[in-house]
Amino acid sequence: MQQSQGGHQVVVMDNGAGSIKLGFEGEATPRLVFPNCTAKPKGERQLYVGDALLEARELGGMVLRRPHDRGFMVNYDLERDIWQRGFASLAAAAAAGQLQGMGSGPGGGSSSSKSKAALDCRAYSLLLTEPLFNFDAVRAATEEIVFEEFGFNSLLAAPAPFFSLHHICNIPVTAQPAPQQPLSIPGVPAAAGSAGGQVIDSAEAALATYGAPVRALSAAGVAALTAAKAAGAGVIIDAGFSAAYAVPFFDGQLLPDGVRRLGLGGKALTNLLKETVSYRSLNMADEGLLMERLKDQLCWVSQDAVADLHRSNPLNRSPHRRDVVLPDGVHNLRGYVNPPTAEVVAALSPGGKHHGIATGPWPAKPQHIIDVEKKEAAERAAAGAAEGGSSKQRAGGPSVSDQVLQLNNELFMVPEALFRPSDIGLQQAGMAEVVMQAVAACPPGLAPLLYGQVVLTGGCCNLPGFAARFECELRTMVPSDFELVVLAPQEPELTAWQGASAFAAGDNYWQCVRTKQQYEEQGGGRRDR
Amino acid sequence: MFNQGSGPTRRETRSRKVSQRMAVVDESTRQQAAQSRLDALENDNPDDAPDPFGLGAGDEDDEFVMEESEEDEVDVGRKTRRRKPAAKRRTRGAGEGRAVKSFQRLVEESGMLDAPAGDVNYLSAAAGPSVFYVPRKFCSVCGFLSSYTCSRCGSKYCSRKCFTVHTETRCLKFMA
Repeated sequence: MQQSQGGHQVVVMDNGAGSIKLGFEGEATPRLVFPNCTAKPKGERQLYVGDALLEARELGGMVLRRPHDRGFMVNYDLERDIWQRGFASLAAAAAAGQLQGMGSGPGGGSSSSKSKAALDCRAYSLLLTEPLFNFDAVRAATEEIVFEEFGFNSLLAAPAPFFSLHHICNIPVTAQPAPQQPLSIPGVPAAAGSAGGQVIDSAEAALATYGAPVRALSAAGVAALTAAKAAGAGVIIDAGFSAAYAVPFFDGQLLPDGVRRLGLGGKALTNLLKETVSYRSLNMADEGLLMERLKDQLCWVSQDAVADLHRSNPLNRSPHRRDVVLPDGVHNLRGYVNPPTAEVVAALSPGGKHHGIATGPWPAKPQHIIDVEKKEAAERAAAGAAEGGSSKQRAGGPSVSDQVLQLNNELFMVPEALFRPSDIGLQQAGMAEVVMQAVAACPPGLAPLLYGQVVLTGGCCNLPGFAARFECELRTMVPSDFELVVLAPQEPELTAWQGASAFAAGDNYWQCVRTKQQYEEQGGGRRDR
Repeated sequence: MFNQGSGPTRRETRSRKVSQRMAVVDESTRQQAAQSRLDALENDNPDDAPDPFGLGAGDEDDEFVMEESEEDEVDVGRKTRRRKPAAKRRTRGAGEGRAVKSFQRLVEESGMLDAPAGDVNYLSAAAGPSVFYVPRKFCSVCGFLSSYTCSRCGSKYCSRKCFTVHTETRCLKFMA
């Protein structure tokens, strides 16, 4: 099996509760990233499954079904359907790219899964991520689906932070199959520490991998990072869709005792934004996908929430205000953001006090809508001229029928819940303090090493200002005699996938997998006996 | 309050009626409401019951959810969606093999609820409360800093205007 044919042998899937990252081993980025859900427009028979949602023209009024609840797979049939379509699209993408060791997939890009050739799963091994502390029942069901319904020749399922760790440390993993590991988290293969591993122990290499650290490193910071790298120690933040985990590791191994979980993730934030907006202005309760997109594009993490709150009052002078023109289902299918009003620009310009928040380019009004509006305005003007009346409609001006959603303090008060969960009534510590608790649960001697390398992974870390706020808040909590180094990878949501991809390309992968033959002989269910 | 009634029984019913509307919501109910609001953050769709397929234990906090839009429920499912969860369960179990287990049920079946104290599992990994920060007070209506508390339900508000909105909307939902 090891060198069976040319081309790829391992399908690497980061099966996140929010989005699936799917690709082949050894590649730098996944071929496909798509939401892990099905969506059905209300009142229509059509059903968007998984990556079909990427091609959906409209996002409004979808009824979503997600196979995951709080990060764990609960709806196996739904997940199987989504995977099936995802694998077919992967086959199509691979066939479109290079025809290599692949079941031919002629149809690509069409929206029906039946028109695509399925991936020939028997020729592949599957690397799958699972949540920390996965349930045995879920794992057994996963194996059943993977082996009996898809027929992959082997499977490796391990928690996502393990692969992030692999990406961070880049240590080859020892030849220890997952089932025999007497770890508290079943399924975590131990990484070889000093024995087998060649550790990237220079801070420069780490910085080259992740880009600049959140704060420019002092000499002591570089030393701390170097020491942490050498010891293979640090803390992984996995701020995902369902929860945010702080996972300490030492000697290239995760420390299960120290794992701490904050029960807030991207889904909770989206729902919080939805709830807030629905109460304050327009009822967006059914617009889950739209709100998710708005959250991704417009929300940001404040460095000083109370000051920003004062700045955003009153509404008409708030620099944080965004007017979102909601999709109308005719020309404007995705929604866009109106440019700031003259008043706001005037308020902004003197000191330029926008607090250095880079909220990315605002998704402005698309050109085709401007064209349509111009055309309509011209027609109106012509009609008005014919009647002899004076048309006051400006070309390109906002039409009367546009529904505008005004977002103001919600944009930063919603992500604020990650740092102060008590603000929304959740009696847990915020992101930064969770790290403190995780480190406190580890042997005290490790603390200086663990703080020497804190890596932000997971989609929530994409929020603008997240890393800076996190670093700032954690720095005030960590005792001042410890150096703190926070690293923010460029694409935090892909870190686990990249690690998994590299791991699957490594030699040790094939010694860790569970083959179909083993599954058939030993059966599914609990593996640790 | 209004002692216009003649008999003692009549006065009693009247005073109870008035007080039910004005009654201060007790602490446990407030906490329950806050918890159900947090649980709702994990819903995929606004109308999702805590346990859509009626299989898990399910927390019975529905009294704070507005009962509405039952017609939405009907077209959510694939083909046959009955109103009764029990009927739904049977069709699903017979037709599709694998049942959908709710997260609550997975937790219960995994035995982690009675796990010994030193055991490391999903529940034991939950982060504890903060020792660095106290909860801040934000107006439940407009989101700005607030200094007042609704005497009935304990929500925060910042101004008279917001208080009016609050009493007319959310405060009413606290009635059992």
